[in-house]
Amino acid sequence: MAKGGTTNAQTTLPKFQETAIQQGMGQARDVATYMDTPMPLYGPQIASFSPLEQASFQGTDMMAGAFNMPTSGGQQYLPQPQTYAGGIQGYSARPMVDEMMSQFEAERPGQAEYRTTFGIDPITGEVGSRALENQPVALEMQGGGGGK
Amino acid sequence: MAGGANPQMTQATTGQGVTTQSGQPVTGAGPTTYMPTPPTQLRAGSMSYSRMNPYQQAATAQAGALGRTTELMDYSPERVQAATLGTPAAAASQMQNYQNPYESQVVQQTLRDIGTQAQLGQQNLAAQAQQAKAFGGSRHGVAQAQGMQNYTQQMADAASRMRQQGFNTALGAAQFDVGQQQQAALANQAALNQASQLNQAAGLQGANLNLQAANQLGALGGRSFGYGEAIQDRQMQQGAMQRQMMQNLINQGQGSFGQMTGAPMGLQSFLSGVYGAPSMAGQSTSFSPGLFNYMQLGAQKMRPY
Repeated sequence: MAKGGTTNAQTTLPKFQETAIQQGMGQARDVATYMDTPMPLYGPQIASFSPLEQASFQGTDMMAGAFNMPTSGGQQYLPQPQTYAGGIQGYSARPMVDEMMSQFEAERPGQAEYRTTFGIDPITGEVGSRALENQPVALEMQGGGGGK
Repeated sequence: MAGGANPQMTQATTGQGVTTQSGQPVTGAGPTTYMPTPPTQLRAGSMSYSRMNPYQQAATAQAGALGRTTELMDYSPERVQAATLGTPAAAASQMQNYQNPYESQVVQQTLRDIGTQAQLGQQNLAAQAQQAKAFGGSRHGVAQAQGMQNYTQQMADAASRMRQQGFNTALGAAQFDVGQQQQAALANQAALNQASQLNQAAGLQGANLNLQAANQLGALGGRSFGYGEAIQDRQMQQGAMQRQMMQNLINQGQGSFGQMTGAPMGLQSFLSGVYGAPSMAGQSTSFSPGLFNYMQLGAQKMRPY
């Protein structure tokens, strides 16, 4: 470049694109916090056996019993199915998961508490202290007046 | 396990128990509930079989067929022994039954009658001798002795004839009896042999029928077992279809719920595609002239062409 002058090269984006990027980044930060909030199981996950299947199971017992073979004795191996709205009958793993969570919180309260700070409070919606938006930021690479 | 929502299924199953078509409850499913009924208490075609489930029918029939077949394995037919005739009785042994018990009396009476005739004859001879003034004489003695000899001979002949007649009559009757007895013994022997053979054949036929019935019972038991299996399989298939339908409903609901609660994540995934589009970034270059540039520009303007 010739002496005595200054050449400036600047990269630019269209306004709408820069707007979209900033909005997307902001939403991604919020979604990350949302994703870090544990979601319990709701509703059934597995359908229970139908009455016809149960009748078939009893038929197996009848078959074995008729020939003096061991039977289940009518004992139920599976848990009692729950009836949900709309007559849906099935099983949920939530009781087991709740028990696991309780045991986790009882045995490792520090880790359990730490874990909750990444998401939001599911009751109040308050963002946890370790959520992305609450991470400290110190801008060090913006140059002279180039940054916002 | 809780009953299903399907009212038809609720009718078919009540809690733990299953109701049969006739409404007879089959309580419990334990091993003691479905003990097969001893086959000796059952007969094919009895109503007891119809009240059993197919597996009980199969087990009972199988036990019956096994037991009956085992019994028939030890079956041995009745042995036929030829009936033999003993030595026929001699006619002489039977004759005493036909001796005229009054024979001696008849003979004695005949002898007495002849004796009376002899006395009358002696009296006539004595009277004739007196009239001839020869009574007590030698001629009278000779005539008297000759007369007595005649009467004695008549008595012997009569007695012998009568006794011979009695003997012949008894002998004939005894021989007839012996013949009759022999014929009866032969007929009885033939009848006994035939009866023994018939009994043996009937026993074998009965054993075969029993064996066939045992085989049929076993086969019918197997058929009942097949019925039970087929019904059970059908129940399992249809029940699995119903359960899959229920699972589909659950999956549908979970998917809808997950879509709602997980929507932000989906949106970010969508937006990441948008951000991956070609950037519209541009680059602009600007130049700010310095003092030297202005002096250079002035010198150029003053230069003559």
